[in-house]
Amino acid sequence: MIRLEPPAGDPLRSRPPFLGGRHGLERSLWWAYWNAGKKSVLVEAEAEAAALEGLAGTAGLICFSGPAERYDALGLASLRGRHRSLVVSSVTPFGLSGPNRSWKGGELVGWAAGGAAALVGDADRAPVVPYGELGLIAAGRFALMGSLAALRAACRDGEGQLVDVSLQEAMAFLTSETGLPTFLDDLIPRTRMGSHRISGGPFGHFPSSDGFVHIGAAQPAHWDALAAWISEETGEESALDESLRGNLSARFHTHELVDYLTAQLTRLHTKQELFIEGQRRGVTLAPVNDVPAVAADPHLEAAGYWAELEVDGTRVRAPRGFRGRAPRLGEHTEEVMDRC
Amino acid sequence: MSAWTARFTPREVAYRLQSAGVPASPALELAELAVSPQLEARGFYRLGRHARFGQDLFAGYPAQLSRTPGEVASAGPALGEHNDYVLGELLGLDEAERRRLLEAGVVFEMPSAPPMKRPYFSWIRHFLRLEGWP
Repeated sequence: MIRLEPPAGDPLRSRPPFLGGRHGLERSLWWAYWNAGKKSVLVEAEAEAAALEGLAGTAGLICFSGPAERYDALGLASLRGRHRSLVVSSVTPFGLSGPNRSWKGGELVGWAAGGAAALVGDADRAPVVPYGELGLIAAGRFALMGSLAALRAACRDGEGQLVDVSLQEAMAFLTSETGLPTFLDDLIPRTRMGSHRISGGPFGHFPSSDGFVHIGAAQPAHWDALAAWISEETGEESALDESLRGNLSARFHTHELVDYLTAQLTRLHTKQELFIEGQRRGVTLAPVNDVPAVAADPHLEAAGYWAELEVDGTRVRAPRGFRGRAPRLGEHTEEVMDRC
Repeated sequence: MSAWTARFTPREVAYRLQSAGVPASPALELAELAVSPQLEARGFYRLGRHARFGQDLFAGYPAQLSRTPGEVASAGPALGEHNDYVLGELLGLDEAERRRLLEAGVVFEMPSAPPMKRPYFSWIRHFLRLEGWP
C-alpha cells in the first residue's frame, strides 16, 4: 500500500500522542500504527492527479478518503474510465451521490448524521461520541470488504469499479439493532440511557471501590448467581425474592431496587476482585478498564495480543496485526515513481 | 457557540454551517432517519423477502459497488425457516432422524401462523419511498 503525501506530510503525522510527548513527523503514534507496512511517496499538490495517473497503470486499487469535491478534483471518476481494471474505493462523509454529497464531515458528523450520537450519553445532557475514531475505522472496514469483493470481480473478468462508502451510512448500519426498522415496529423512541439500560437485568456500569464494573445479567442464571452473591456478602435477603427470578422482564419494574442491591455489593470490592469472583460464579461481569489496566491485562498478554512496533527508532508495544513499520516521509518516492 | 446555535433548530444550524463549508449535522433521531433525503437518495433502506411478512425492511450495506452491487436474497430469517435446507440438504438427515431430533427438543419447527404484516407497512410508504412496499 502506497501513501501519497504532501511535502508537509499527511495530517495524521501531526496527530498526538507523540512518542515521548515530543512532536515529530515520525513520532505520531496514530500515524505509526495505522501506516505500518505502507510506503510513502512525496507528491506536490499540483502533481497529485498526474501521480495517480502514473500509478493507476500498475495499481489494482486506489483508496480515497476525504470530501467528495476532492474526489472530483483528483479526477478519480475519469481515471477509472482510462484504466479498465482499476478499483477505486472512496470513503466520504455522505457518499458520492445524493443531495448531501458535497457536505463536509468527519467522525462527529458521521455519528450525528447516522443516528448513533443521539443514542449515546446521559438523557439529560447532549449526546456524546466515544473516543477513538470508531466511525471512521468502521467505514474503513466496510471499504476494505467492498474493495476485496471488487478486486475479486476484477480478477475474474478484468473490469474494475467504484466502491462508494458513506460515513453516515456506516454509522446508521452499526445502529441497526436499535435502528429504524426496530423503531417503526414499536414506535418507542430509543433515548440516551447513560451507562445503564433500564431493563432490570441489572445491565450497566456499577461503582467498585476503585472505579466501575460492567454487569450484563441478561439470563436467569446470571441473576440467580448474582443474587446469591449479593445475599451472602451484604446480607440483603431481598435479593433472593422469588419475584425477581427469571429473565429480564421479571425485574423490569423493580430495576431501581435491583440496581441498588447490585451496587451494595460492587462497592465492597475492587474491579479486579469483582471480575474474578463474578466470572467464577457465572455472572457476566467485566471491569471498566482504563488504558493502563488494558496494558496490564494478563489475558491479553497470554493471548499474544501485543507486538512490538518501531516508532522513530524506538520499539513500543502495540496491538498485533501489523507488518513492519510506518514509512518515513517520502521514503519510497524514488523507488515507486521510477517504476511508473 | 451555544448562544448562537440555541437560536436555531438543529437542521437550520447544520444548513447554515454547511453552506459556509463547516462540517455539521443534526444529531438525527431514529424517526428522522426514515425521512433523510440523503439516505433515501442512496437507497440505504431496502425491502427483502421474508417468510413471515412477505417483505421486510432492513438497512442496506454501507459499501456500494458500482458494477457488482450484489443483492440481498432475503431479510432476516424466521425461526426455523431453513430447517429443511440445513438438516435435509446440507446434513443429509432423513425424515426419521429429523423427526427424532424434533421430538427430543434438539431442533424446532417454524411455528405455523397466518401471514403477518409489519404494523407500519400501511403508513410508512408515505414517508420512506421504496419500490415494492407490500
